[in-house]
Amino acid sequence: MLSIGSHRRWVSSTYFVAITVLAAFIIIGAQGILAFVQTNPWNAPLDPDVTTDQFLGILSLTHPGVRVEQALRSFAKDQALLFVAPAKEPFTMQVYYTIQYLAYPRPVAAVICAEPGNGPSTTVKESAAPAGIAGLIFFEVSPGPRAGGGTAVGAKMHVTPYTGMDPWQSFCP
Amino acid sequence: MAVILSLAGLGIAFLAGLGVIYLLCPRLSGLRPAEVCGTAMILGAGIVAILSFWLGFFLPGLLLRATVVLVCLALPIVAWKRHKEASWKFSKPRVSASGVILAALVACQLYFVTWFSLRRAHLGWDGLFNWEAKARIAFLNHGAIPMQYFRSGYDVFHVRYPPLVPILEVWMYGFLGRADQSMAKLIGPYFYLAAALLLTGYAMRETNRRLTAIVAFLFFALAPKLALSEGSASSGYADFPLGAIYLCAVVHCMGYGRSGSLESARLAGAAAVLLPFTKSEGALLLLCLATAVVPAVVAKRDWKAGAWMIVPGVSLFLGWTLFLALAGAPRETTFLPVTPGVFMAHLSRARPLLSWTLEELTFWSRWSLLWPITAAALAYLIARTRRSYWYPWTAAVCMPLILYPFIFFFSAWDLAPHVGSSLHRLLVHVAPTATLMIGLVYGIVLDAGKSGRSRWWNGVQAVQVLPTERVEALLREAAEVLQPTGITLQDLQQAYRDVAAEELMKEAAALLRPTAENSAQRNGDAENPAEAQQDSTAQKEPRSPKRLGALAAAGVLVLVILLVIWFTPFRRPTIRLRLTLPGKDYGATEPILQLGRASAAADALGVKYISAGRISLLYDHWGAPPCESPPEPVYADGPHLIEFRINSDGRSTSVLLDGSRVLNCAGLYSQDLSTRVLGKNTLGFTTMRSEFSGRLELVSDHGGQ
Repeated sequence: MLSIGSHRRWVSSTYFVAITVLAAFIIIGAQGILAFVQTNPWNAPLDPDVTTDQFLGILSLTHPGVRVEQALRSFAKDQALLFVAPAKEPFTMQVYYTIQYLAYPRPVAAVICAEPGNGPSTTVKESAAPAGIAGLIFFEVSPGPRAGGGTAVGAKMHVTPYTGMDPWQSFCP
Repeated sequence: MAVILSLAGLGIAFLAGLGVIYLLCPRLSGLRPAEVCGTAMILGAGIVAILSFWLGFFLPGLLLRATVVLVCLALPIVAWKRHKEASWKFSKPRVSASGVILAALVACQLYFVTWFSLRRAHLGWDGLFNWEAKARIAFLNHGAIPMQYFRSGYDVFHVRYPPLVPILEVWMYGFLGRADQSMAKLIGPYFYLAAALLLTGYAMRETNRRLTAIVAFLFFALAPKLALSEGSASSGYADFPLGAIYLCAVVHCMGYGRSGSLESARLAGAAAVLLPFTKSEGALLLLCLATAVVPAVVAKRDWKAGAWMIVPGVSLFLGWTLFLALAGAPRETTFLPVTPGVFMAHLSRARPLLSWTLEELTFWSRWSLLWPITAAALAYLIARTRRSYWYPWTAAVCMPLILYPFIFFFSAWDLAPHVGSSLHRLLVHVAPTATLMIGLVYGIVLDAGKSGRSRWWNGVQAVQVLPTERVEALLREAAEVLQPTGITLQDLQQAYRDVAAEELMKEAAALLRPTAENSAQRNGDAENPAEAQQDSTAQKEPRSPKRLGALAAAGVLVLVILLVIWFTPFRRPTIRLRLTLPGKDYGATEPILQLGRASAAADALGVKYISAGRISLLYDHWGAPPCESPPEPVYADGPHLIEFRINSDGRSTSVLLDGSRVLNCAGLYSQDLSTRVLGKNTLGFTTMRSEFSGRLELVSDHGGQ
């Protein structure tokens, strides 16, 4: 049987540990929050396209999301598009997914161009364009003679209409 | 204006939630106003999402929105008409210093989370492609997700993911008249407020003390991962909303365990139904919830309450699965089939999974000390309380912590990046519930420290664990005693459900106990010895301080071991660097860290400037192909933290950028970290320049041979 004194000692030591742990939690937690805020100084605008603009920042345009959407409006909603981009560009997949998002409901397939000597170019979502493609979106790839009648979206992207059944790999340089 | 219109949409959802509560719970079962509001926010969001999703297949555009608005507004009116006689009565609020402090803390934190959400963070990858994309598609299709979307092959959008968050976003878009990625982010703060209200309300209901609510809220507010970064309330992900919904379901399950009230069971079921409709992992949380409540349901033989809590959620899960099958949605490729064969084939993943889980649970800059304290709090609960009290908390908090790492045995992806990008977000689901449990344990400890013994806790011990039949017997006995005053058994039963009266009933139970015991002794306990034994067990004094001390010491020991693992050479050797990037010479790679004494047997970590606001990290293990991270968003004018670690297997390394693992590469030639050279390429690596042009400092250097 414990005396009242030993019970109180136990209670006060538990109380002390609890307060210390709470204080430690607050200090470490506040430090983590402050560090995170400091490493995220980006001042985001209140904008309907804030995230897509950020994801298309590689295009170095103001409101790139709106610019891309405008360029895609010339295609009917059931027309399929083909995204052509180089494999070496680290932003290729990010830009491709963002284009898919902006182009909906138009299906967008892709051909990712390998560098010469680095194996064949790869295609993504071939099933998206079973009846052929109606437009080409060149990203960091020169459209060459196919640029005619198209729209430039900044210096890195070109959207152009297309009719034909060329092999997709032929759009790569 | 956009903010006001968005809040109007969420406000209508809140009204619908109030109506549902009033319909399911006309007497409130002792709920606090904060709990009612928090629950209404959660259930309102659910009502809007479920109605909009299913009605969207039958009603076009404006008609759909008008119908849902009408239903939302009609719910509170119908509920009020139906239960007019049982109007809600809250005890008159008392203005006190602790109340003002609590309100100020919640308001400040909510402001901070909302500000960060709107002005410092975008939706993020999953927030845009997995969640908001569905909202945009629905908005373009007049408010409903088109059926062809489910078989469109948009694998990047994860068509099988449940739609609660996207539908709530498109609900707001309907009021705005446009898709708006900024306003979509208000959903995080909405659920944050709901969780804060539930947390503080339940803590006060359980302990009748604001201090406990303040402590619980401090744990909730100062766990960085709940407020900031991927999966948090300020991100556009569905993880925090799922965590808030789970908290709501757990709170009402505990309320059921406490009072045996069918009304609490109904509210728990109404919240649980939203779990599988929010995120795929919601089905696992539903399983955890079922595991938590089954013993109480079986003990009380209250099958109706059990059915209310579990059946709606399971039905919705099965309904959603059936819908996906009928819609022809392709299977996800993220996980392999859950079979014993796959598990056995991946058994070798056990060690790294355990290591990564422990690493995540002790990731101080993400979680502070949340998880070690959770472990200590559970140990304390097990030592201090009856099984009927600690078991539901253990199941609700521990089971997800075990199940979530376990699911990676079935991952079809490369394990390290999959765990690295997912596990920390999965823990967000259970963290709000863990903070509530810690707050309640603090309630016991602080109360004991103040008065020498836990006052409310003894009341809980004496009354809450009594079976419903026993409470009924006590009430009958009290009614007999009070018969001359005109108070009937029905009056007492109603009063028992009221929170203020409940406290009185505890006192009454304590006063009546000797009478009941005397009566039982007079009757020789012959009628029901088993029941007498059960009561005696339920009402015995708390375990002795000596035993408690031993158990608390064991808890502290576990904590110390975790700290020792973290701060000693058992922990993985790590170098932490803080750097500010010059960020202008695009295409160039500059050295950050070089390890090794001689060329041809050295390693280097470099930073490659890709474009404005984008870098990748490059690790060069001399003679091997460079290992490069995907492009990462960074800020040129802000400091960044880079952690370079030797993994626990000793044969590989990992690099974290601002807390996120971005690289998992080959091991070092030499694990002697004292050979480090910061910001210079002195050994002639051809993949990077000779010197780093930004600012670089060593934060800590830990471990290594």
